[in-house]
Amino acid sequence: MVITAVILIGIAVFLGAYLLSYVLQQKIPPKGIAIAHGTAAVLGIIILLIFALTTQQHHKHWDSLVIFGTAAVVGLYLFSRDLRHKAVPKWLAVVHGAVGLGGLAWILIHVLH
Amino acid sequence: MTRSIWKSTAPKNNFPSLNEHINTEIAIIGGGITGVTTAYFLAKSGKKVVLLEAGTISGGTTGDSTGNLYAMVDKRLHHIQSKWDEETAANVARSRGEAVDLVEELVNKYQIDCSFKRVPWYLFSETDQKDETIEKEIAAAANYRLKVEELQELPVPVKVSKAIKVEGQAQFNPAAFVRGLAENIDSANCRIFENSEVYHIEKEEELVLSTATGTVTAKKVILATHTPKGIYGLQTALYPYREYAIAAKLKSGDFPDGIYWDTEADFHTSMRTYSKGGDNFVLVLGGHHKVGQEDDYSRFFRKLEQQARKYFDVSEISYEWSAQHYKPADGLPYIGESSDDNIYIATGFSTDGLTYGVLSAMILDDLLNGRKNEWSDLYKASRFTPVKSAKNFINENLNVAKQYIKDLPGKAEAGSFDEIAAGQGKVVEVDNEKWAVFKDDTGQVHCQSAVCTHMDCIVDWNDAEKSWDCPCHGSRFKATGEVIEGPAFSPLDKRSMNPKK
Repeated sequence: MVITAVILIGIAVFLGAYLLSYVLQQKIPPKGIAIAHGTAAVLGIIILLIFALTTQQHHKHWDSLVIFGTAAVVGLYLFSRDLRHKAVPKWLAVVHGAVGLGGLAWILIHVLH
Repeated sequence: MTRSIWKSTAPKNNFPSLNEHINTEIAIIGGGITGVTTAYFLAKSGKKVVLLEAGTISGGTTGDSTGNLYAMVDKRLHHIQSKWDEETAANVARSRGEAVDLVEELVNKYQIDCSFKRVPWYLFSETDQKDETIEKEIAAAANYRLKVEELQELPVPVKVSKAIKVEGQAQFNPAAFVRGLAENIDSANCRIFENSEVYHIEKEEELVLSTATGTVTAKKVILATHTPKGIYGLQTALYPYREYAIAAKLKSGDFPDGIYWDTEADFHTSMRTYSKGGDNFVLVLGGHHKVGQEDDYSRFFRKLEQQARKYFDVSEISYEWSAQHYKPADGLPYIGESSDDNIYIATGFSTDGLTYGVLSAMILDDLLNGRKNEWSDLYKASRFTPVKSAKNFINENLNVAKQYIKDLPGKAEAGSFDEIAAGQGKVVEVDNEKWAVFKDDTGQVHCQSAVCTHMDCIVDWNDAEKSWDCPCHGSRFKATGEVIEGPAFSPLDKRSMNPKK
């Protein structure tokens, strides 16, 4: 279950990096990619949440969930600004990406151990 | 180029454009039937009003409509009855009937030359597949206080399986009515400006409307713009569709007046007659589709022509035009104060907008004068009807999501500008961006971003109207990017031509 979540979040991070390249070039990101990015991330978080609520294992990945939840809230804000044709703050997009990437690294460290 | 018979034959007004800063009580955006009739009533009641129209009075959807006024509704009253209840359907019919009466009263009062006449409304099926729709309408009609007569044949040469007639409906030239009424608005209380497109509303303590050359500061604003301008949650409950019309000049034949609605579902045509300057026309309307989601828009005109020639002795197709309408999620329009304080809307009229436009004016006049209106709760803009709206809401918003998902890198209609013929437009990907590229008849290329300035969907080229149409919420732009209609305030962002393409 955790592996599935990690794969989905990995896809979301990869697509997010692609979207970030648009934001940094002040171009409008393709919405198809933005929706795929968001969908992969949300599914990953939901699967991770189900794991946390059902597993008997000691490490339930609540720490990773907090990190991804934070990234998701910022992501939703960025998406809503983009849809309203308002400028997406570059620094916030970078922070969003860094939190997501950091979260992926964090969960990978725990999974690989 | 398409042009409606109403806009072409109605005398134009000559109002100035806004070149100053004005303070007023109420600003109305939009000079169609809703805006002008509302301005008329509010000015009459003593309110200080400014009306701003982006083009010319009645130059938008009103002038592109059918010119039919009726108590019934496009989706049929029995549909309202099944979705809501008997009382609601009866109230819809009664309120719409009052609006038709009001138009007649105004026409007579000001002697507006708009060919207003009372005519019967017919609903018919060509085959027995749709007889049930007629039977339901007959069964329900008693509740609406409408006198329905069953017929075996129609006064027009159309084969009929079942038909009904309701007397006392009406037809007029909508552009002539609205332009005529605009001339009769109390000018001491109301100033009208044409060619004054509002591109921004600043929501401060008061509302500040900006045009290219002036501003209007108002306590209250009415968006008589068919769909609210800007971003509103309500747009998830409004679904944009287009419909087509032709006016065919007849070689011979003189057909009785009437509003003829065909129940056949695939093209859903309606017909009416109109005479002007000794010429007899038959107007055939139909071909309903989601905005910005077709490949060949001109085919609708061809099909209407085929339909007209099938039944009538047609000499030529004199006019071709199309119009937009917004279907409401729960079947009733949204009229009243929006989610933004002091901003009022009147929208979701489906194809019944002329009658609903006048009804909106009656409601808004009462609301803004602090009077109780009998119909205001029925059509309340802020109503929440999740059960009645659910089916349309889910289907239509999934459709919007699908339009967004189509926006993928590398997916464009043309790889280079050379693939675009003169007079055509295509979406081309340039430097990882979608561009809406139009090549005019002289071969000059006009480039703009293909991203709609309302909510970022990718626009689609409409070959019949030579416009860029947004498939999500119905914003439409000229071939060169300027806003025609819909919720977008701003034109498509200009791009300079890339010689590599």
